[in-house]
Amino acid sequence: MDDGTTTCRTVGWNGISFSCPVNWETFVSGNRHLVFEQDFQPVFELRWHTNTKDRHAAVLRNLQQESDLSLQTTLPSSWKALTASYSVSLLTEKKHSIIKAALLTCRKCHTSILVFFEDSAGSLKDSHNLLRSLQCHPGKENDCTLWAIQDFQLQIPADFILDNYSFAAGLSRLSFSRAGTTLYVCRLAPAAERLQTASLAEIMLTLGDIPVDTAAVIHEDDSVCYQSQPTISQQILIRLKRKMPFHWMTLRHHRREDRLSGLFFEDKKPLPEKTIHAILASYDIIPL
Amino acid sequence: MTLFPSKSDSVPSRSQALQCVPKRNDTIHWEELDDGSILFTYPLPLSPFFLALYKRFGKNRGGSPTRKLQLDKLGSHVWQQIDGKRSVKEIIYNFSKSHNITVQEAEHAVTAFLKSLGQRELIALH
Repeated sequence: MDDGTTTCRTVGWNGISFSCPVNWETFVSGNRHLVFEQDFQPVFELRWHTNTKDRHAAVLRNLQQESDLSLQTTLPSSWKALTASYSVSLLTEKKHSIIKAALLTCRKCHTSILVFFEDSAGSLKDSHNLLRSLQCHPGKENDCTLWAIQDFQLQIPADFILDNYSFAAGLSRLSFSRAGTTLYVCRLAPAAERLQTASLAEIMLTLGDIPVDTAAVIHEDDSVCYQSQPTISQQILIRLKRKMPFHWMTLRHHRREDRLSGLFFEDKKPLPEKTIHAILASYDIIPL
Repeated sequence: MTLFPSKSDSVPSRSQALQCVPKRNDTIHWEELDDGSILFTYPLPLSPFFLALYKRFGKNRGGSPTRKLQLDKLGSHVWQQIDGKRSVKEIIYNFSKSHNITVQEAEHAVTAFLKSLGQRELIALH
């Protein structure tokens, strides 16, 4: 599977982003836990935690207590490039002194990042490249978090918190919330087979789970959109049913990539149009 | 030596399961329909008591009760890949390429499908 060239792609998940080899499959194992596999064998794991102050020494002490790994006192030259941005500590196996884990703490945002190497010899070079490209805090000009996993990516304001996610066969879903607003991001594949049995509007209304006639849906080129505009009395009635009165949803067909991408917003109050359009503009499918 | 090995000992790991080669059950009758989908006709596993009842009172008294199962396009494609030589891993890679989905998604779909075929005794893993 590996032809020797290291073509990379960007991965972004819950506050961190980096570039990793395209032949590494990224598995989301938790809200802040990613596992990388090559040819169905795990090679590399990444866990992280955001802190308000530098907890490098405390986390390192806990790691040493709870594992049989020992601290490597001298840092190899290949790791020294990382020390400009991170406090770096390496943990090795006591018997063979093979590097098994690394703890990195960002000097700027104090995020603790634990790297675990499953296959040290094979993955170490690619892992170094990955760690050099690591970003754990948003840039000055942009307060958005990059979410780039599988073959889709989008930028979401950092105050949207990840609630849930699922990666089923052909349907990936992420859900976020911010002060009463709920956002669902979904991506379906392959689009051609989905569209054989249902129209774009029908798929969107099924995913959005609201009983609306397809006639109310706005059709554009390769996309459909629906926005609810309830009157005051309708809002009261919907709220009595303990449902959200304001909905905004869209489903786009990416013909070339054979994918469907959807965004679904719901709230008790009118939705922020500017934020919606900014997220929609950043949502794209990246061919693997 | 343990007389009754624990269940966890007999469950293969993920990497072992991916190396396994699925093999079709030769006793199962299946046919390819005009639209390319696969139709199975397989015997319904019944206890001797219910089998005796079926033979006495059932419509087809001479034979044993059967059930039919028609696969969709994706399932039929996986069934065609099962040739007793390709491993689960190879089937996953082929499925991922032919349907333009990620390997991760193909693994979810293919393993769940093979599991359901195995539960119906239509395939065995070697």
